[in-house]
Amino acid sequence: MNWAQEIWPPYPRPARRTLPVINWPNNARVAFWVAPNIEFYELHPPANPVRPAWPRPLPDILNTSWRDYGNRVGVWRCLDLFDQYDIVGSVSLNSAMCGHLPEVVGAFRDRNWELFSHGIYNTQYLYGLSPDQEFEVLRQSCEEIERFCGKKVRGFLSPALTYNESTFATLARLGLRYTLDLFHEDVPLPLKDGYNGMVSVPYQVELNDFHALVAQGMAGELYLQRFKDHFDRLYREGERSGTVVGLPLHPYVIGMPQYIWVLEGILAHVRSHRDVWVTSAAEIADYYATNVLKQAHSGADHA
Amino acid sequence: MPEAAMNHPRGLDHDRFPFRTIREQTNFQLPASGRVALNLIVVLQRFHIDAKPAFPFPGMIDRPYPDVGNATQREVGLRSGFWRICELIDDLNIPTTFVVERDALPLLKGEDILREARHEIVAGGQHAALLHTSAMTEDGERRIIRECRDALTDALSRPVIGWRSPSCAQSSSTLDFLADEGFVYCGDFNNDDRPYALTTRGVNRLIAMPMNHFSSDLHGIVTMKQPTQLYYDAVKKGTRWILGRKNQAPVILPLVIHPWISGVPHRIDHLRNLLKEMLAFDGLTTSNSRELAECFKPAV
Repeated sequence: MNWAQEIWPPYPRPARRTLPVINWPNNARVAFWVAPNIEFYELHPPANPVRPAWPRPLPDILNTSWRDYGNRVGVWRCLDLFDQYDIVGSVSLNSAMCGHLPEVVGAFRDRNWELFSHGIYNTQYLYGLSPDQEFEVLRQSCEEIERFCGKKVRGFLSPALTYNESTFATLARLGLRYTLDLFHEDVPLPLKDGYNGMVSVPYQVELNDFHALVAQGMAGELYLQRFKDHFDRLYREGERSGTVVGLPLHPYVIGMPQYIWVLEGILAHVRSHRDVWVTSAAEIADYYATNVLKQAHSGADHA
Repeated sequence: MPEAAMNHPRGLDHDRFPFRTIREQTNFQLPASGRVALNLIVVLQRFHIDAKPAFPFPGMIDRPYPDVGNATQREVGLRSGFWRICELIDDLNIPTTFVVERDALPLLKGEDILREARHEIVAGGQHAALLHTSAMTEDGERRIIRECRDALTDALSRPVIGWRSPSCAQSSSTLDFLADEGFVYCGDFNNDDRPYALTTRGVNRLIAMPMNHFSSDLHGIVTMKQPTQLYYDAVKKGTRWILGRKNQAPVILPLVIHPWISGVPHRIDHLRNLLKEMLAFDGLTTSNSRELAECFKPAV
């Protein structure tokens, strides 16, 4: 079996520069969207057969309490900046947050942020679930979020980036419209036939604050420069065909005093450019499916 | 399989403390109407060359026994690194919190700075690699806590009311034992910039004080391998950012440093410059953790 085809289902790799031309609204060159990961980490999570939730014996208060910093302190600093720079994006949400800490989720709902599913708990991974179990977990996650915000969940990012071979089929079975787990391109991509018309929306892993500041250990100043370099390049490429800059954030990282100023630098940089569409993942997915793919299929120009 | 959705209980999944956001009022005010209190926290660790930790921890001696190189390099923190930090503290007149491990005491004889009333002494456990875990016996863990407190009290002739575990590691019962032994506050939690009450045996008997490992030199410079200048610059910019947000609640900025990291010749002047610049910030005060714990009045 060709697992690559089965597990990673984007549309077959195109020849260079044959992707459909993207014309974002108002001739924007870049669609910019922010994805705060709003997560609940359990002190005593259930065991997972593939990966332990915490590196230390339980209770791992060092690491659990750090995650809690995000919900208690970091996220509120981020919200101050989102308000100041008029940013409304999409929340990557562990649905259990709706029950445990509704005040945090409510702050985003009340500002009209999109809420998409990021599983139930960030300490409960998809690894090892059967396709039916996986369907049930994601169905419950979506249902809990829909109950909280009164809107249909449109997209998904896997909790702690954990997957099974069945995961993308499960998303299609749930009727989700977009996935964030495919890191192929800096533009949206259609998934191949059989995945319910889902599209992939860029969630750029090297811009992820956790990836840059923790996994790679970058200093804040260098992370800010990485963002600017990334954004500036895609802004230039966006003159030819629209691009996407997706910014994954974790308030327990970016909300710490030594990094919060970096977020202000990032948002100020974005706002200093004129041709930017500040939007959500769902808006990008919808616009792409409706205005780009359908026109491409009906014979519009290719770059 | 997870529990059914919509049945997730409100609040956190333990009863040690309730959830509270930085936007909520709390009974914590800084002296002299300061908005950010710098708490300089100096951790004095003892690394025994033959000690085996229960699990890997940041800064541990990690090469095969006998790891003479790492062991002696860590001991810089009780000698020249410590002396440079002390000189800096005296020059800039910064009230400081010293976290002292019991087994560091024999190497700190005659260090009178630890007896000065303007500084605070926090019990740091027995030694760097003796990590508290739930595999410890109750008697064993109680004895470590009690003996550390008593040794510091005797050696420095002063009461010790604060605790910070080696590498912030606790068993399921550490908080209960700390409260039983009469400790007032604990610096093991990394989840807030303000004090809050911890529940032990059903009542609020301890205060959680911010001593965040993840903004320490150990995390930033050793674990994350950030260049010294960039790490300290980030702390400075973050402090300035918080001071610039006028509507924010007063917070503590814990700066946790380890003299074997920040006290070495190529870093000490960066630390000096950072502290000098921060001390000039409008709205920034300096306090040790005892004074800051006294600024918090938890509900009983």
